Amino acid sequence: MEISFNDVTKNYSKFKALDRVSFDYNKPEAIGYLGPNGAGKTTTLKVMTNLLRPSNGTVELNGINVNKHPKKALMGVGSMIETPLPYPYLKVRDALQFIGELRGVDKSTINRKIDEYFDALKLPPLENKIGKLSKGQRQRVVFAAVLIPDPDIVILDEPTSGLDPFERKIFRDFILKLKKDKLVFFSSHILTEVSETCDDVIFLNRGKVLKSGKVDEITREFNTNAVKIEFIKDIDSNMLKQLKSNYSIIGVKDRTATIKYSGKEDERADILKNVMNIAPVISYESSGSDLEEAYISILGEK
Amino acid sequence: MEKDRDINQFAISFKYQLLSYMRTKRFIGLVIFSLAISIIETTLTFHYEYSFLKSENSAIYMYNYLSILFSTIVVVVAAFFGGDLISTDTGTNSAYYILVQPVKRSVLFMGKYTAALISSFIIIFLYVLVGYIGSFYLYGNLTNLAGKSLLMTLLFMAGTLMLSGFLSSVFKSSTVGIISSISILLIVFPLISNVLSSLNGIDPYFLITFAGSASYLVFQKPYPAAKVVTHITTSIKTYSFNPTFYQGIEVALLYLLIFGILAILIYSRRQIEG
Repeated sequence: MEISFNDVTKNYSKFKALDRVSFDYNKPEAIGYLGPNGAGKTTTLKVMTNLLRPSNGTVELNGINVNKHPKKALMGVGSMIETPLPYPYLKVRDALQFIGELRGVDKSTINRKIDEYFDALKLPPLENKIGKLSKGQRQRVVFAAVLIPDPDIVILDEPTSGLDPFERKIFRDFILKLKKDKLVFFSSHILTEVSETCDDVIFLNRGKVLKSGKVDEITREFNTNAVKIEFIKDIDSNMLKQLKSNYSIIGVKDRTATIKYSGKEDERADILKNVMNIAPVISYESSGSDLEEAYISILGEK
Repeated sequence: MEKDRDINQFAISFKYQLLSYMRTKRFIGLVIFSLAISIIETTLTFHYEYSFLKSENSAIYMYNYLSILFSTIVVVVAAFFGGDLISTDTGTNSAYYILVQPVKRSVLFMGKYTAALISSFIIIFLYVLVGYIGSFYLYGNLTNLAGKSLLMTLLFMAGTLMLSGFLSSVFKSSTVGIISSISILLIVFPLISNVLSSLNGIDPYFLITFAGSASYLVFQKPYPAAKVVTHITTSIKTYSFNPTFYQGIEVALLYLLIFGILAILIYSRRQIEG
């Protein structure tokens, strides 16, 4: 299993949607593709699935150029880009059988998998027409269609966008399962979801890859080593002056203060000891050690 | 045998597209429309021309029956099934379900086209069938030219549908595809045909709507002349043209081929920009 982007540029007349994007992944894992709206995430996935042709560069799936030999390259790939709409007059079962049969899966396997995913993905009744389904139900049907041919590579474009927490959990749990033996590449805005499910991340903005790497390494790199303290009453900066000078106050608002320190555990304990003298503390937690901090640092200033 | 071979994928695309078409309101609506028109037409003809028809034969009856609205119904049905043949894939989110699959777009297109052709032909056949029933009622038989006419009807339908399919590859919107198909086939082509033939004496043989009239001209005995010149005065002449049966077949096949190739090329090259 391999997704390989080699120096890919995509222009829409004068607008450069992708600017020399390169990456290569070739083992079972989940890769999060992050960036603000308009960064070029969906364009990347469309180029990856031959819905768009690159202006320059090549995209290979399992070593096959997807734009030159789409049928062969997409053979081991399942994808869910934007909000796919199976033909609205087909019933749920027909829509799933259609894709399964089109991809050469035998009918008994298709039916077995439909039964399996009916429970696991909480699919809507199989006799319902696609056109009558909610967005979330439709997304789950499409996701089942992605999984029925058992692809090596799974490409998902903001799969949980617009879904309720219950539906999001289904997708998240599935991604965790899939990445054990498949290469899962998905774009998302939901950073907690990416940090919980992904091994690697790529940050993209204005069509350029700004940073990529292991989630934990990037999180560590952008760790601000801060603590967020919530007091029982409102406080102001003057009240925090008694803290040692090697701590810096990042922000104070109403009952909450955020304080930066070196990252050593004894300093963290020392801060807690000192702030308890100012006012009773309701909560005390790490701040700035998650992917959101990295996201803001990498993309926020660009 | 590999299950993902083009021929298998064509059959699967055809099967599910046909299933989808059969369930659409469009199909059901056009079946009702076609039956209603044919029953009204038959009732009125029987009411006003019964004694004349009774003295004629099945071929004359079928000619009279089909020459009234047949071409219009073929064009409307072709526009409704062909006008969004490709744009449902390239202009809607169905693209993200279908076009990301490991299947050639030409294969998908052929499956969709064949399903649309069969769905359209069912509707047209119902219209023709009411004519056959009328013929049996009046004469107790059906002219042996019916087979020839039906073959031409199928080709006329196939060519017209392909032209509409081509238009659906040009426009992103289904509505624009359907409206432009109806406009071209129902207004522009007949207008060109009239201007060229009656005023300028040019044979409009290359227009599918003109060629399609061979479907009912076959019922005339003898088959009408290809060119008729009427002298109104010594200096003013008017012309009227009729396609020969084989001309009708050739034009329909050419439309099928030329617009089929163009539609497939555009569909295969179309990028889904969203």
